[in-house]
Amino acid sequence: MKTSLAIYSPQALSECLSSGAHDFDQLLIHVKGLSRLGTISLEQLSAYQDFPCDICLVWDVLMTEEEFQEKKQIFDKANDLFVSRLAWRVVDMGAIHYLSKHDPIVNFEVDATTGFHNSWALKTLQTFTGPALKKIVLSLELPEAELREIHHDLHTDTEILALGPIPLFYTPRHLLQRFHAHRALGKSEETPHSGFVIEDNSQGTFMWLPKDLFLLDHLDEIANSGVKWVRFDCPLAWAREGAQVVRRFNAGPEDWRAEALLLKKKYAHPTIKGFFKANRTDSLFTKLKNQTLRNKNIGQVGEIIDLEKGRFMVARLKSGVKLGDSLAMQTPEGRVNPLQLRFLRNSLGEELSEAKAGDLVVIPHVSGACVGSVLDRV
Amino acid sequence: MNNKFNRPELLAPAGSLEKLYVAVQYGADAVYLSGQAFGLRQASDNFTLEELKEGLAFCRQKNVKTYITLNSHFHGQDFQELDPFLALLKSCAADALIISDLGVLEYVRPYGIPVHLSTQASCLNSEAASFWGKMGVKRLILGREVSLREARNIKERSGLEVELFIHGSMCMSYSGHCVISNFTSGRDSNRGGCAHSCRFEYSLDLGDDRKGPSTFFMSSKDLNGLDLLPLCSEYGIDSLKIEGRMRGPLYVGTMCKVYHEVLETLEKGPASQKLWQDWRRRLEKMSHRDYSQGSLLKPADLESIYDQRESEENLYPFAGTVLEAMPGQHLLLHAKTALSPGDTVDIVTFKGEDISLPITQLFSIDNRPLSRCRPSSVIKLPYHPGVAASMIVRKVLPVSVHP
Repeated sequence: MKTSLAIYSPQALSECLSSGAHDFDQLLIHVKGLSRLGTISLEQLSAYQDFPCDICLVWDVLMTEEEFQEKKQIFDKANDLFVSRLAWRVVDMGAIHYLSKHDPIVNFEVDATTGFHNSWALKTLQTFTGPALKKIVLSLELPEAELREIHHDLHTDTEILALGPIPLFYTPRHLLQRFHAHRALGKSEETPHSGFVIEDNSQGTFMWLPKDLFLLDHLDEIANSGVKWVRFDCPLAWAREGAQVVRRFNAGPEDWRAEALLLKKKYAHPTIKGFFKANRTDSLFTKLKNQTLRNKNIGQVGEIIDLEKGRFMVARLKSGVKLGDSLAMQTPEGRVNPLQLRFLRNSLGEELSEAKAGDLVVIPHVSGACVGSVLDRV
Repeated sequence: MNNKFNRPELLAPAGSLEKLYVAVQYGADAVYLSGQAFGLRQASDNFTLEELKEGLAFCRQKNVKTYITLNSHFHGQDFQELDPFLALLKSCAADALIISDLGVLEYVRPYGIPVHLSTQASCLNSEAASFWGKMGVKRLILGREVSLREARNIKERSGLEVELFIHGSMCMSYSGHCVISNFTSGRDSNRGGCAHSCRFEYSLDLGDDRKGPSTFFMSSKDLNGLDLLPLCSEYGIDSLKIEGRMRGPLYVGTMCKVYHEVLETLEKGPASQKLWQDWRRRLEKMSHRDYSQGSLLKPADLESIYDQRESEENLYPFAGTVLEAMPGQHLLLHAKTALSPGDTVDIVTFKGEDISLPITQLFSIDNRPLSRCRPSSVIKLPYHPGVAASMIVRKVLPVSVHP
């Protein structure tokens, strides 16, 4: 298992390079102007000639057409400065396209945390980008079982966040500007969570979950699923302790998990494991929706749109009926009662011997029926 | 005839079969809709397979295009039920699929149905457009952050059709990049379960001593691009989309009628100020969160934030749909709200002036006089010329209710 560390500020970069960079296999340097949160300028970065590990510059902003033209200039400048040892990490499909056809070839990684939750998408991405694609950052929404499934078809290295805040929201609009603030903690009575961290900077506004993701106690499952890299997105001191856990894990069957749990206990923020064990966020509407009425085979004759108990029902027909037909009425709850068309009338009150699809008809009331009930042949 | 006016397609939401009929009859050139799965509006009624067949057949008969949303972010297991659905869409001759996921795009390729890239993919620039073009996409539904000028450039540089949202609710986040619902409500916003957390009221701790303004700081005003239609035409935008599959028939009908009327008028020549005022007034009548032009002209800024609690108040509520109009006999109305003699309703005609109809008498379907009808009942009103089946009806509230 390899480790990468996200670095956002010149201070963090300086601290890391002077004391901790050897602990990691890769530094993810968030460049000012190209990264959502980074404040490290190219000038500051160019002061460092040697890095003790691989570096990858992060270009994770999303860009409209005009912004993209500006960002390309920053990219070109950075690429010229670090041409030999550089990889890029990108999110915007435009940046992916731009890098994949760049001449000379530029190695890059794709942050596929949104919209690439299946093998079909990842394989297609892998095929399109070719050998320049060095790593794919996978979504936090993929549980272990899906991670395993995805890796069957993937030969590119993958990475997931192991320790750090969970990003929730990204807009180019400046939502804190009118409060003359750049940072805030948000709380809403409509959600049980409080303390959402909100940041408004030159790239827009961002929000994170109050609890950080912590997966270091699941390193064995992560490795078994096929993930090769874990990322630390936290202050250096915590990341170094995390990297120590990974080294212990890599070294063999020692009790790395105890060390991970110890770190979890003393970590600065509350933590969660997110969706790593299960993701059931697609199940709610299936439960709430009336599956009886969603059944494609019911309601072929029509639907009740009004009724008067004991007297009549008004039905909108989807297929023709005849006076005397035997039908079944089914309520939205699934209860079925028989119904015989003892009378069949139109809106003028005229008796009909038959009616066709699209007609509105007045028919006998049947016990238990309600608006929304449907009619079928017996 | 003004040859300079390049008329964009008017694309309307069809959250249910009923709303599809409304959209088509009020002037939509195309509708977008979803089956029971795979779309981003799982709370909407959406279409059963039988309804899909019926709706698509009706649209084909009326020469209206149908675009089916498959724009959720698929996980592996979501593909399991996709094949039968795609086969049905193929057999019903759906005009296009709206897709955001690269995997789905690849998966549907053998079916040969044209693909429109969903706004959920946040395609914002011509490089991204070129990528999607190489993947076989025919049309780009551009991110709402893209300006009209940028949309024109993307179209020119990619050679693909471009579609823009012109009216309706807007995500505050880059579409597809918001997972607040996922982590706080257990509902996948990118699989149709968005809990609209951006519409919540938040109290903000700004640090220092500045504690807690309560604010709807993440809520966006609604988009209204009515005044920009001439520019949309000039820039060659191919399709203009009205958001709102969760909205009711009155909204769908009104939007389609107004926007259709504008496009039809502009096709013949410039419109008078009086007409523009009338169109604006009619859009104002619809319940909305205050309008903004979003990022269509310049990046959306502070002015685009709707810092208010959402109101249920509706000055022109939906009163129902005309089921039958029998000359000399009656109008049969499927009333959705309580109505009494003395009330006035507006019949929203398919074209031209709406009809104001004071209710003098009210009958049940079996001709008993009613002093008041309950919501969701079928009632009769005296016949009125010009009223036709399927027209939508809104209730005019007393003047004292208006601000």
